[in-house]
Amino acid sequence: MAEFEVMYGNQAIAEGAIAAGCRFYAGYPITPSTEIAEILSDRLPEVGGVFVQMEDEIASMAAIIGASLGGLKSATATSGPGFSLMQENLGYAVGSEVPCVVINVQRVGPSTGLPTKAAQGDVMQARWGTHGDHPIIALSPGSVQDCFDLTVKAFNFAEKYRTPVIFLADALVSALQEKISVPHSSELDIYARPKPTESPEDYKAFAFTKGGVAPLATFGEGYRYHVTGLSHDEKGYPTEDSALVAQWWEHMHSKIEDNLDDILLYEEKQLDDAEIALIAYGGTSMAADHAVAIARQQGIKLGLLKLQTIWPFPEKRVKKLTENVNCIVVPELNFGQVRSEVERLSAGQAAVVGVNKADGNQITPAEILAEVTAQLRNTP
Amino acid sequence: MTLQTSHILRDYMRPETLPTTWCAGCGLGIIMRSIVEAIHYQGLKKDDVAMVSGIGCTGRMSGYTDFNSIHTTHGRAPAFATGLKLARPDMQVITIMGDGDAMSIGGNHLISAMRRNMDITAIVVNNSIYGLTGGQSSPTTPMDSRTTTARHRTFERPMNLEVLARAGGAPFFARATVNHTASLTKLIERALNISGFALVEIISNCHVLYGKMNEQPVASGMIANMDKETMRSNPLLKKRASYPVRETATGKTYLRDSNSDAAQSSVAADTKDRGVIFENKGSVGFSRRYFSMLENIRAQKEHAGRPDD
Repeated sequence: MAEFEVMYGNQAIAEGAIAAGCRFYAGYPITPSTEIAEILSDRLPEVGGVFVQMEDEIASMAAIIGASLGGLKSATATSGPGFSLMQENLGYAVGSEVPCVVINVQRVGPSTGLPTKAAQGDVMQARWGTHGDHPIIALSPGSVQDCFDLTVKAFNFAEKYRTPVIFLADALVSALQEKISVPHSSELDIYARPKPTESPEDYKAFAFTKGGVAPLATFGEGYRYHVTGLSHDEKGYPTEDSALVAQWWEHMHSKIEDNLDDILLYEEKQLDDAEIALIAYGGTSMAADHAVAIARQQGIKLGLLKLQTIWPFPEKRVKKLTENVNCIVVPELNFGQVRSEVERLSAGQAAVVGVNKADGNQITPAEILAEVTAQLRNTP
Repeated sequence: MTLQTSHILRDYMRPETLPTTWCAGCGLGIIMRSIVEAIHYQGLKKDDVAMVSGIGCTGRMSGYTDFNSIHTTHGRAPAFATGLKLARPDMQVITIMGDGDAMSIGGNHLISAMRRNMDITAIVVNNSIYGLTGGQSSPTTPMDSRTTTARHRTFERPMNLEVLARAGGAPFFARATVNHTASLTKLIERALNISGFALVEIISNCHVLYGKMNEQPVASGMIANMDKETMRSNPLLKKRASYPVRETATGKTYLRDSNSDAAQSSVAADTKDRGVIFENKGSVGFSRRYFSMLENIRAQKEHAGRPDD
């Protein structure tokens, strides 16, 4: 049976990680993510896991890749400045298909910015921060419950698709206290890393399968293979053969694109009869949810699409929404990073407007409602 | 490099990855053979060894040898190795880095791994130049050298890895050259047995880039000059060179001066292996400390769980 507990967001992320089977954490202290490290420095040794404080975020990212190759589910947590430093080895983990979870509790940037204030300015960095075209998965929690549940999902996706998963929290949810339901371990759906079944001679650690991945052998268990950041063949050896590199790209993109039904997570509220809709994610989705409740009391047909998976972007669902409503309002703590995606998909079908700020304050339900009513007045 | 050079080498290579990208006469082939021989003589199983390399000519070594191997990003090998060692404390983790890799872009990781006393056998190949990118100045390029980024000669001081190793708290530091292959293998064997961070600096030759720009265009000549090169980058050896020389059956041996740096260090070098600059015999590595802490936590929990206690 699930138990109810009062937790704050960072605590729920740490407990979610333990529940998901995370047994290695490497990190560097940074506000507003530090509690995750503090809690895990206590909890991981209790469950036989490893906690190590590294010299910087570059090293933290490197260490979790090394530990993941050593067979442990691994994670690190940081905020904007540290996330910038992690981009180098994040790209390494993408390219060498090493599972890991990178938690970014977003704060106002750029640079040191507003360390204690919430923002959602790293959405595009999560997508394109590391150089080169590449697939990525990014989840964003909109409540303390999400912090727990989606952290478990993040580890599952990382292992299942052999990719880093970026967990885009923000300082709104990370410091928020809520009562959440903590499932018993028997109720949790945990993806265990599969072991290769073929002989070491036949094993291809980086098989270019379409829509899936090869099982990742643990170092030291008889499958000696090579891991590199260079473009490589199916055995992991560097190659400059353009035909092989093309096959690799197809594999890399298809392992995500062929599994969108599994990866795309979102919640819908009162969208069935909605004439105007909100698309929100992260901490801002709480204000959006509240705005829908008030609007409905006032007789405004407002609905909400709350995104939990940000990348890959839920294109089909958003496109369908643009066909069913007159207007979409996207509140976010940046100047329109998700709104630009919605505009692209709407392609003029529905009006798309934003409610934006990045000054350290949160967006209130009243501010969202003000934009909604303004749009209703504009609608003929 | 051909596979006929050593029967031992053949069993530890990945033939499909050969030939190497290294130039003819490069010291890296000698170093790769010494590492493999050391692993062989120590009786380590290939499955139990991980080779973690950085970027550059040296970084390519991990691909050629048949171990569990990671060719990491530039300078980050110690950090990748830290994660791997703590996930698999039973494995022998070796990092192999170049001088730019270890002392410039990866300096922080090297220092921190030393301070942490992470259980890594760290080999730094010092050829005084960035090779793979084409001969740019490195943190160990001697003063007054020509490089492709110092056409008017270098004026920055080269870094001395020994001093860094002492300050960082590494329990073992040795310096060898590709001119002394037998002692090189022995030094690596000794380093493999250290609990904690064992650092071996190997002076190598880049006659193709550094040599051609600095009047030493031939590999054999450059390698023959290595004792001088070693002294230039190592004040301790320079000092030692000024001590009285004793003739022995095997050749010249330098007598130790009781006032030398080595004698003054907390634990003096074992004089049996030339090249060991210092060694702290009581070293206990990070992973052994960490997992004994886990044992204590488990024991405390079991103790607390018993109702009669």
